Amino acid sequence: MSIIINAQSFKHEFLLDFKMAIREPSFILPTLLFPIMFYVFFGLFFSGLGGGGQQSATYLLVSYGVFGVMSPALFGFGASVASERDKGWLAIKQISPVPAWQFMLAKLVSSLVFSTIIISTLFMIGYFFGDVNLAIGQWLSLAGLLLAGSLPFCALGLAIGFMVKGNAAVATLNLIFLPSAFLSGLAIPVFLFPNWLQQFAYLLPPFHLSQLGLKIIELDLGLSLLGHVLMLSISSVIFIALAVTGYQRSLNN
Amino acid sequence: MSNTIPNVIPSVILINSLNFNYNNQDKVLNNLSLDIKQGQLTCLLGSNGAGKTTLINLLLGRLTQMSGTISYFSDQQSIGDVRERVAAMLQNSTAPEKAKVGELLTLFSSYYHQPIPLNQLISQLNLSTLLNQRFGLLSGGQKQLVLLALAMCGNPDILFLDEPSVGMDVTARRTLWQAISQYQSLGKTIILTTHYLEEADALADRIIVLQDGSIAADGSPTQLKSAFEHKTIKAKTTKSIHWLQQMPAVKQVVNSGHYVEVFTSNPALTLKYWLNNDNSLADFTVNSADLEQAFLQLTSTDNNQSPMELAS
Repeated sequence: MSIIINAQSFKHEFLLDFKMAIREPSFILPTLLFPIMFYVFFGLFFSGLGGGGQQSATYLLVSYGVFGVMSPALFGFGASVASERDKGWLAIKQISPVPAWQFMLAKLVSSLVFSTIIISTLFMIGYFFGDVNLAIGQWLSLAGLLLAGSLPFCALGLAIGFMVKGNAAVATLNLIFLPSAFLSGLAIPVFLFPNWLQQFAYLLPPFHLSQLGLKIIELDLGLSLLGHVLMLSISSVIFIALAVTGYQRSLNN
Repeated sequence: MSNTIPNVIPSVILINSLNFNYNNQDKVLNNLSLDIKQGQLTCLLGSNGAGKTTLINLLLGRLTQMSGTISYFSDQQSIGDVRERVAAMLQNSTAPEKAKVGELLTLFSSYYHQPIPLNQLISQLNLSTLLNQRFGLLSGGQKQLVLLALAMCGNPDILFLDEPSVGMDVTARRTLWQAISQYQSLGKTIILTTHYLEEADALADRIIVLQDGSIAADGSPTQLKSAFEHKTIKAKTTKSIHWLQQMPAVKQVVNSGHYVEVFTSNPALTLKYWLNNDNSLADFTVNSADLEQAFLQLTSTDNNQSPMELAS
């Protein structure tokens, strides 16, 4: 079975998904504005006041980068899949000749496009206003890492979208998104946490993604690279398995 | 001559002894067998819970039967092989609100190798003024027409329409009926479920009444109606059922409390004989059944009527 029907059909699939996301203010505003707003507020103004300046702006660029790519992955996938399933739109596609791969891939690409917009905006703000000074290789590897690192969250969003109904899906995603971002040290660095809370962060995928990002700029906690990659891979496998189970369940209702 | 026609028309769907139930509860479909011929417009009638939507979901592969077989076209394919040729307008399924009508049509058209030209579909279903509108802002009837366009755009050989006219005003319904008839005239097979008997009467070649997961009646609208153009004479009498049955034009006699119910194809003839030959006859009423009453009578649960065969 082919993954897409043809390039033209995939283009329509992606464009429609992307346009629908842009037309949804409750998705587009928090997704694009929050990471940028938080970064300007905490990364630039607060860092300037606290005297941490450049280093703090660099550190928080990674944190809000992770925060920034999580949101389109979780909400772009999760909330939209849940609402399309509730409306029966998913069922209409399932009985058409389009392979599920095509519309899932379209959502993935549209999530990656949003992530790219967020990452480039953050990078530009950091470079022009935060004195963030990285080598070209560091900028590129950080951007690549963040994009690749959004994949487990896409899978998690998809799993929630198939498992939880409509509005409850958005609530569930918020319950996962905000606490896990906070507990992974995206707002306050983990090394400022009490010890037991630090241990808990080790279980959370955003923690491992941000540590990988901090490794690139040599501000990480110094844990093993392989460990981070392993934890992210394991969580991806679990999320994908949940998403596939959810999809198969959706075929029958 | 009419005997040879059914043999010439090929079957497009063959359903054999289909059984289905949800989560080990009562059977929703009970040993159902059906042969759908090419080019026929079949209407499935039945009260809520009769199994219409379940049958359509089984045919579309959205549910899996407990036992029995469904095969498509002459080469006995399963639904997975024929997605290009079978399309449906599902009940309670709708498109995303933020998508524009034109975008939806373009996307769905791209799913098929030989779609109906979009311009043709748009003018046929009166959608030309809606193309730039968001789906969520359309009226109920307009939404249904767009969903019909999405189902039709691949030029399918078999089209399922599950309650297509729900939420439609008179104008939209007229457009729907025209589109359905026109589509059928291209030799397409259409299976329609509806609550509106008027719709079944106007469109269908064949009406199948489902009751508790079995076929309660199967015939043309004319046959179904003529079967129920029999009048019912309800009366008190001391005569035996056997005697009543030998009256002219009587089809069936049923005891009904202190009364008897006599089904007749010619009430005038029956009554004349009865009045002349039975002095105990008293308190009689004559009732007729139109298609709607026929339908209600067939599907009411407190009526243990045996299945009707209306084969030609």
